[in-house]
Amino acid sequence: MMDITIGQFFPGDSIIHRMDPRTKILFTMLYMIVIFLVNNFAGFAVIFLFILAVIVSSRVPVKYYFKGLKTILILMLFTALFNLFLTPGNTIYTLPYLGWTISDSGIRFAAFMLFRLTFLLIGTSALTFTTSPVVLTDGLEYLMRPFSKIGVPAHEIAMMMTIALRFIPTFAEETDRIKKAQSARGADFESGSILKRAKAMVPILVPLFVGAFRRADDLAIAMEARCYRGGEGRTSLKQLSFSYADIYGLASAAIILTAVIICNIYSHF
Amino acid sequence: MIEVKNVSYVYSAGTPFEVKALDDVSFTIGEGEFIGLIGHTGSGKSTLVNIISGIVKPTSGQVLIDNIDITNQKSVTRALKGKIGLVFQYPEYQLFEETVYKDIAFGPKNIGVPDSEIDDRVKEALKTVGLSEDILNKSPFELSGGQKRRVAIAGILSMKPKILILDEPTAGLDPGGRDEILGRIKELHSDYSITVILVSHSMEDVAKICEKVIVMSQGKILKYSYLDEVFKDSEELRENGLSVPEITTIMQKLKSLGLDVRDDIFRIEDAKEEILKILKGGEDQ
Ligand SMILES: Nc1ncnc2c1ncn2[C@@H]1O[C@H](COP(=O)(O)OP(=O)(O)OP(=O)(O)O)[C@@H](O)[C@H]1O
Ligand SMILES: [Mg+2]
Repeated sequence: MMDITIGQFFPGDSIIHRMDPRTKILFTMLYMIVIFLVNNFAGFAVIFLFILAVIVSSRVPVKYYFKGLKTILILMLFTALFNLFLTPGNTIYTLPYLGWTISDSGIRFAAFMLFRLTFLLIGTSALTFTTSPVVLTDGLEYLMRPFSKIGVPAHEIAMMMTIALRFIPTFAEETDRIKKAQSARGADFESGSILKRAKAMVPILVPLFVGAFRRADDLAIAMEARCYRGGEGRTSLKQLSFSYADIYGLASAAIILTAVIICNIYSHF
Repeated sequence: MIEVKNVSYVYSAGTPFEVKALDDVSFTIGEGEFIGLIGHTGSGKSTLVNIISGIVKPTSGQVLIDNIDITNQKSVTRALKGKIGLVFQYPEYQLFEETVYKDIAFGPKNIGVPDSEIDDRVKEALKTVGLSEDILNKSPFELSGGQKRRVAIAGILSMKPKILILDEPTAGLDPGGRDEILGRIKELHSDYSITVILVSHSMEDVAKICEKVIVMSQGKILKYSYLDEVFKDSEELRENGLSVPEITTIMQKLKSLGLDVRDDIFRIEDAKEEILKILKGGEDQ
């Protein structure tokens, strides 16, 4: 089975689950900006404490956050290595034979990059783990609504996202099924040259695409049969509303923003 | 011979969506038997046949095919390819080649059948599923649903498996086509003495062609026995979301109304004989 931990929703009733999706989305955006503003270790410590609090209060087992990290491990390593070797500064160490140099600021930036990617992924995971896709796109649609005045099709974008998110697990399942069916016919996906393996994907990809188009057609017909005509005048079944949880969210946003700014100004570490 | 020993399977292990699909299942299927596998939807039939054919590894337990442990090494499953043919539930979604011919030839090619033999195999398989040869050069995507299903089944038959497993091969086919395909499979079974496992929801189909039946419920084997044994206890089957063939129900009703008929009958022909016997017996008195 494919690993689709990123973007998966874990139903629950924690304080983070109960927050309004709009709060969570705005918060996550703010959080992303803050992560890239931080330029010292003290600031990262603040963010670490904060994200720890989020993980604990989300009541989603920690291992799922780490599983998500594992999928971008390679990306993280590459980014860190590039930063390590390519940042100019006072040379600390030179690799034998290759002559690549590591500078003091290289180490610093590599560490920052690792922290940023880790915190970024954990933070966005916290959003998707605790918010069902439907609620998430509801929130997005609401937040995008002001832009519809300047011609942004807010509802249509949200609907497209809902559908796309809805079909990710379906396609993962379908891929798995087709792969099994073809290996029952003796198809071999694991051995041979790269070219041979690429060719071996054809028996999976063709049925997958055929299926995707068929599904899209069916869905379009099914939606029209239920009189769907786009966003004009549509109301939603579940109204979004703010609660106490959102006030806590707001308060903690203010606190970490202040803390990080203070660190940026006063910390030289 | 197929030996299933203490096989369990868990989907999405270690997540909140964990499902125990098979729970400590053990049984043996002899060479050349024709087994029906029935059970309500979600009882684990597809999971079980996927494991028996070596495509899915069980979470725990063993499957031995002719004394080879297929749950063990990769190389073994490779050697088994072609020996076990599994027709998936809704197999028409696995078609991908430009022509029907190429699609049916895909399996034999993969297991290393020489080119000279492939042509014969494709045509034979096509005949078995009751399609004519002028379909061979068409694209599989321009066929009707039933034709696609038959082509997909032919794609497995062309590998000439010694053990043939069919996961609801006739779901969604018209009654004529259903009987035709099942009849051909029965012929294959008796002509080449292959082992067949037929997963089905239709008691009528199972009663018509199988010798023994495995009844599954919630990931466990509820019963594994000859047809009459299994259909005798219609109450228990009903409790598990299944039924007995309609003709058995009729015979049981007749008996409860006081007629002296056997109630372990599940084929129309047998029922006819039994009822005629009673009627004639009545005239004699
Ligand atoms: N890919 C999957 N991921 C998670 N759970 C699954 C998956 N496939 C099946 N299951 C679960 O495992 C159990 C057994 O499923 P299985 O497909 O073996 O049933 P089945 O007897 O073949 O049913 P049907 O008659 O509907 O084909 C069900 O509870 C099902 O929900
Ligand atoms: Mg099934």
